[in-house]
Amino acid sequence: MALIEVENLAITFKTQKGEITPVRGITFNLEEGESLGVVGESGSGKSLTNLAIMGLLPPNAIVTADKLLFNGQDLLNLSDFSWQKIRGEKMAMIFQDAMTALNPCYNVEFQIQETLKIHTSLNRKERLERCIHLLDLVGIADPNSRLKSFPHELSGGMAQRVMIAIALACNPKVLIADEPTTALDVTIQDQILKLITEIQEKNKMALILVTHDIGVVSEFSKNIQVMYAGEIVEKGPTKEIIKYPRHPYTQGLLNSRPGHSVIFRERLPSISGLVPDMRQRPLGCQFRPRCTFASENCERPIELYPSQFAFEKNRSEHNSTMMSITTPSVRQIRCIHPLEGERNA
Amino acid sequence: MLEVKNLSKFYIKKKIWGKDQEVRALDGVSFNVKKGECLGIVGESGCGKSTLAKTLLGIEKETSGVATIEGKSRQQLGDKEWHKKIQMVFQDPYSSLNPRLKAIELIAAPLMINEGLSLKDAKGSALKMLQKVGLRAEMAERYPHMLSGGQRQRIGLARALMLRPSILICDEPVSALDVSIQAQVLNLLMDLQDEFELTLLFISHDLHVIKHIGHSILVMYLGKVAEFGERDTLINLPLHPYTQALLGTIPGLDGKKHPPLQGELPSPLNPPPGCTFHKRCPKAQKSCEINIPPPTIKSGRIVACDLITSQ
Repeated sequence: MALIEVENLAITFKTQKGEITPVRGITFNLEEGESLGVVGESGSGKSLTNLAIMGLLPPNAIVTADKLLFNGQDLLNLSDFSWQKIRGEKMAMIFQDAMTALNPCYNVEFQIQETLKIHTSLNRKERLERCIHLLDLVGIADPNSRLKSFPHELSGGMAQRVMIAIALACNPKVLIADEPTTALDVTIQDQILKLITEIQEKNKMALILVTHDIGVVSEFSKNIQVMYAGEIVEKGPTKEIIKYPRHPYTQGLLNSRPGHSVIFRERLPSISGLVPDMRQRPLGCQFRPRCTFASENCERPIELYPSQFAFEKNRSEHNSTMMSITTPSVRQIRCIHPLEGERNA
Repeated sequence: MLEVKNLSKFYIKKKIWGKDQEVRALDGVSFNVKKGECLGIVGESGCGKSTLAKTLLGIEKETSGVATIEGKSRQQLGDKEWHKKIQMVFQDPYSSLNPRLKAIELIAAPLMINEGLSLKDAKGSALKMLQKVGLRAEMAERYPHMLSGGQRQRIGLARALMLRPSILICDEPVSALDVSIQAQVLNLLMDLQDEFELTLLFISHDLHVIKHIGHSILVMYLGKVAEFGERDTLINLPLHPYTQALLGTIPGLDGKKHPPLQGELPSPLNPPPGCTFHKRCPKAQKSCEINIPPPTIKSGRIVACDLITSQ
């Protein structure tokens, strides 16, 4: 049984100008110990999906789903009391901006202890020991003296480490990291991501890593889920998607990165246009207005479907490299005429 | 074109008790850019990239050193002439545009201030510029909140180009934008650079972007130049350990694993003695804690590292 099962999740907001549905038709499973990277631009609904799983959406959001299970437990009709049993203890979340997510009025020790007080039966001494152990685990030098620090005395990287320590306090089964490194420098970003993935592997914890940078995901998670306009457009094993993107949007995301593949000062292949307005969603495929491959058929509604494609064809050509990577049923896309073959870099 | 010699900017932190502290935000930075080329400036936050931009523009007064455009300094040219030659695009398109002005007013403002034109007279050329940066004419009557991040950044760009400057400083122009929009703005920037024969100073923390756009690269660490040279020499054979680390730490698509750089940027209030990088440097030796490495020319670039220059 999967740890998290989501089927046909939709999030609707009632606004003065009518209803909008920024997230719809989300279906995925998260196995125990799996690391899943979620990629998409701002407004693609990646954060909302995770907030829905954590039960942290504002009260004006209406969450509907055929299935929303955590460890077999239905999350849709939980009371506040039962939510508290799960949140922080079995599921934990790291937010984008650690500086604003930490409470500026309390010191580090209080904020870590708070979680332990609510969820565990440890006594005072044990809690203190656990605090120091946690800070040590997340790589904070001299944890004893840092316990009394307030958030404003920490650097961005350190604050993010404290957040991770709080999230890990009860050894959760799932850790959701929502853009944990966007506000940090590249050198610190590297340290934090390595830390998160190390702990994930050690604790056999499931990880959802949300980011807008496909480069981050490609290095730090096994599976990718690409989101666009509140829908999943492609998902599958990371290595495969990086090399053989099938949805035009995934290919666009990959190619528009100024990276190794492009010649010096050559025009970057960009995706023209903007993310659609949630009030006036396009018909059928949401990416159609920006897609270079779009045809009339794209106006028909399309669901996420498993794809088996051209790996079979390509296998003879790239015999050695292709054999190991793929189990075709894992790969899913939402496109009528998916791309075939290797990403033209 | 632009030559910067020993530019320094020290901020004084006043203390009620005890001695005033000095923050060396910029410490003896020297470089030059050729006409029509692009200099990429990289470094972590707090390394003095933005202070450099502000000091060049004259928003902040330099403590010592001098910057010259075609041989003339700001004192010689006067502020007004100086600003006609050098302009800037800011990082955050949300806070750098006045929310009470329409797009057209924002773009026309430099002409109205510097050339004394009325809005009516400036409107024509402002509209032309609006289209040059890829915005439709009907956007002219919109306020910043009605525009997306990419569109706002285009307005910032149009505004900076109104006075036809020869040098444009871009302070992280794309870091607040989404990846797909980032590519659009970068393309536009390269096109405009060719069209207006701009000399570009491109500040970014993302080495991938710098690598793509910069003819030469300046790596800064804690207010000092760590390494400065042509793009190809620097990318192919980085000498300074910090440049090497920066090149290694960017998550790429190749999935290569590499050791991360330890620790964080030290506080500029209390910089470590000797080479400021020695605490994080994987190759640091005893002598690095004592000697301040002077910028030295070595294999076609300027590098400030004793281990490299003593070889």
